[in-house]
Formats: sequence, C-alpha cells, structure tokens
Amino acid sequence: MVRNVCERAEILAGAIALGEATDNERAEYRGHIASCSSCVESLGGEREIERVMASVARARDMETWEPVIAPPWHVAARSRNRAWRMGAMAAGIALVASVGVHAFVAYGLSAAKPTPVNPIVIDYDGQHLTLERRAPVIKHAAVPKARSAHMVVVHNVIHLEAPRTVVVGESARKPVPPATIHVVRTVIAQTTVAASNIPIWRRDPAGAATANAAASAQMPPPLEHRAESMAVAAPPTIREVEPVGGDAAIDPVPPMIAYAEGANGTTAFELAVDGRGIPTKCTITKASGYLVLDHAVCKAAMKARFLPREINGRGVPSVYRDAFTFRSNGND
Amino acid sequence: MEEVYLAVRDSAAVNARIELLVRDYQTRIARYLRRMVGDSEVALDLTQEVFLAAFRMLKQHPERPLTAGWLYKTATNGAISHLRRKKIVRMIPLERDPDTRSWRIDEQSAVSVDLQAAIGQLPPEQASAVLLTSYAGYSSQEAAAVLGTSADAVRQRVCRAMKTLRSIMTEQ
Repeated sequence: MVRNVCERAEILAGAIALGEATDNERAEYRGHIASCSSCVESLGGEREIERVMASVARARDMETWEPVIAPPWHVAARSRNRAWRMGAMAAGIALVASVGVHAFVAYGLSAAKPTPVNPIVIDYDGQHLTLERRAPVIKHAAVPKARSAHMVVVHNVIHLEAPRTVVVGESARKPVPPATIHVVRTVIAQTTVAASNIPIWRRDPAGAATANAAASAQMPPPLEHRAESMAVAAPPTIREVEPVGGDAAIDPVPPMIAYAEGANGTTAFELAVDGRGIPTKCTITKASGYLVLDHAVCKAAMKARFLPREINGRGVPSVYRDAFTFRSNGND
Repeated sequence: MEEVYLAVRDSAAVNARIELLVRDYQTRIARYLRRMVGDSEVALDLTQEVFLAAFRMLKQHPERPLTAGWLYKTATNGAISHLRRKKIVRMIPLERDPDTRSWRIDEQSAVSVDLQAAIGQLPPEQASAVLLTSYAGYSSQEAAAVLGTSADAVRQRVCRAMKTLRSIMTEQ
C-alpha cells in the first residue's frame, strides 16, 4: 500500500516536473510528502523538482549545435551505388575464378588427354610386327573386351609344383611358397598374329630370334601390305614403359589355397602407369578363373616400379599390358 | 502539437515532403539523439538513418501519413539499439571513451555538459522520457504514444530521472 502511494507520488512529481499537474494533484503531492520522509528526501519538494527541470530546459535552450544532413535520397543513391559496386566486384571475382577454373580444367584435360600415336613397326629376322600402340588409357572401365581375345601371347608361366623341381630355361626359386612347393618361372616367348599386347621392351631381337626359330614356319607373312606399317616408324625419341628389373620385376605370389585347389589359368592385366613410372591402377582384362590368382597378379604388379613411357625425354602416363599363366603341377 | 503530414502520391511529392521534413526536424532529431547517445558523430549517423528510413517508408507506402512522432519513435529505437550495442562492446572493451570534447566545443554552458554527463547515467527509457518531454516538447500523453506506454509511466520515468539528475548535479 505504502509502495503504491509512493509510486503515485512519483507520478505526481513527474506531472509537476512536466508542468502538467493540476492544483488538486499538487495538493495531493504536498499532502503525501508531508507524511513521507523518504519521498521528501528522494523527490524533493515542488520547487526542487521544478528547479531540476528548469536546468534541463536551460541546457536545451543554450544548445548551439545545428547539424545539416544530406537529403535521404542522396544517401539511398549512395547505398544503391555501393550495392552495385559490391555486386559488380563480386561478379568480377566470380568471372575471374570461373575463367581460371575452366582454364585449369581445360589444361588438365589436354595434358591428360592421350595424344594419338601411330603404330610401331618392328622388323627382325624376317618377322614383321606391327604394334598397335594405344594411347594411355587412364580409366580402365573403357577397355574394350575384344582385346582379351587377342591376348594369346604368354610371357610368363608359373608352374605350381610339388617338391619335384622342373627348370626350363632361366629359372628362379620363389622364396614365398612353403618348402614343399616350388614355383618355377619359365619365360616362354610366343608370338601370334595379334601381337598388339606384347610390350616393346620384351621384343629384343636376340632373344626373340632364338625363340622364334622353331616357330618361324608357322609365322604369317609379313604385313607389308599395310600402308601404315610402311609409312610409320617408331620415333627414336619415344621410349615405351617397361618394368624396372625386367622379368623378375612383377613377381606374383599365389596364396596357399591356389596350390590346394590346383589352380590353372592365365591372367591378363593392364596397368596404368603414371608419368613417374608408378602404377596407379591394375585392371584384369582376362581373368584366370581363380580370383586369388588375379589378385596375386595385380598385387605384384602394383608393387613394381616402371620406367615410364617417355616422349622426347618427358615421362607421360601409359598403360603396361602383361599376362601370367599359372599351371599347377600335373595339369600340363 | 504534433504535425501530421498528409499522404503523398508521387515520388516528386515524396522527395519534396522528405526535404521539408529534413529541414524542419534535422536539428531537433540530431540534438535529441546527441543527448541520448552522447556522441555527435553517432548522433549524425543515427539522424541520417532516421530520415533514410522515413524516405524508404514513404517510397514504399506513399499513402501512409508521416508524423513527427514517427521520427522521434524511430530515433528513440535507433538510439536504444545503439546503446545496447555499445553496452556489449564496452563489456569486450574495445570502444573508446565517450567523446566529450565535441560538447565542450559546441556548448558554452557548463550546465549542458553536466547535464549530458548525468543523462549518460540514466537508463535509456528514462532518458528518452525526459528528452522527449523536455527537448522535443511533448506532453506525457504524446511521449507515451511515441514510447508505446502510458502517460503515467512517462511521468514516473521523468520523476525517477529527475531524482538521478538531481543527485548527480548536486554532487557536481
């Protein structure tokens, strides 16, 4: 109640300060402060209230500050111009970034895009081979299936044998299989009409001459009638991809289950090799029928390192193709 | 006492009305805002914003009548918003001290400077009630309409502001 009365006194004091109080309100205020010491102390009498208010009015009357502001439409136009400038700046930045990204993408694509390469013709010992050199194919999903039909050249044959060791030609003992099993690598150089998958580095004339001596009777006639074979020769500045370490570079180690199953089959694969000679992707182009053999081949191939294909001394991405034939002992 | 500006129809009339409005009220609004925020530069910025808001409002709704009370209401809201931001910034503390030099240059009276120091210690609601009634010359009823409250509340705020001002100005 007291609080309400004092709040009422505050309202009356405010009315007195604003000069809005009626005589009755002034009388009411005087009556309240006569009996309320706290209100007298805090609010003061009528004269005190009017004195404070008069000082405020005096300060107002003595103000000399007269600012001049610009018309609002100028400000609005300035803000619009600023918005346009900001928008134009953002559009310019976006344009430059877009051009930069497009240039980068275009350059990257042109750098990665395979350059068309003409076939290579190799003549040795009366054998005329045309190597169809495909440009590097990075995405192996696009590898045509028809190529696997030509993959009849067997380069490496791995015999999965029991302790009885048979060595044909150059051989090497494999350390990985258990002591009771020997893996003997035999390099058999065979050639077919469709020799497009034979890596060039395997085509040394000396080795091929001996290997082809017995099979020369079955060799087809040289393909002189092919215009491109006469027109195109291997540029001397091009070096094809080849594994570092020769035949032993890719060393597939079949798991034990392959021996237990007596796995046979030929695994042909393609290996994408980047410009530094590091394999980036292995694709099985012809499966052996045993997943473990295919996995062993790819695993070994990805571990190998290559001398990259070089054009004018500059390493370029390329594709290395090879095949391994696994024959378990007693199956051949 | 409150002037009522009639609705205008076209943009030329809007510009003319705003120009008149700026000429009539720029000093009053700027002084009111300077007392509220205690800084000339900020007061000028806020004044500009008030008239810019009026201009945009009239451009968008030419049929709406624009009153002086609308200007004071917009100015009060802008000042209170600024003071709240300032309070937050002060907690961080990054802002410089209030610039009283401009007051000393503009004002020849020590009373004015003292009054400003006292008003700076008032809550924004009380300061706006005092300034609307004393500076803008509004009655408690009109100030209540601007502030969105009752006349008794305005009187009470004025009374409490007077208590604070009296204690501060007596100490000085």
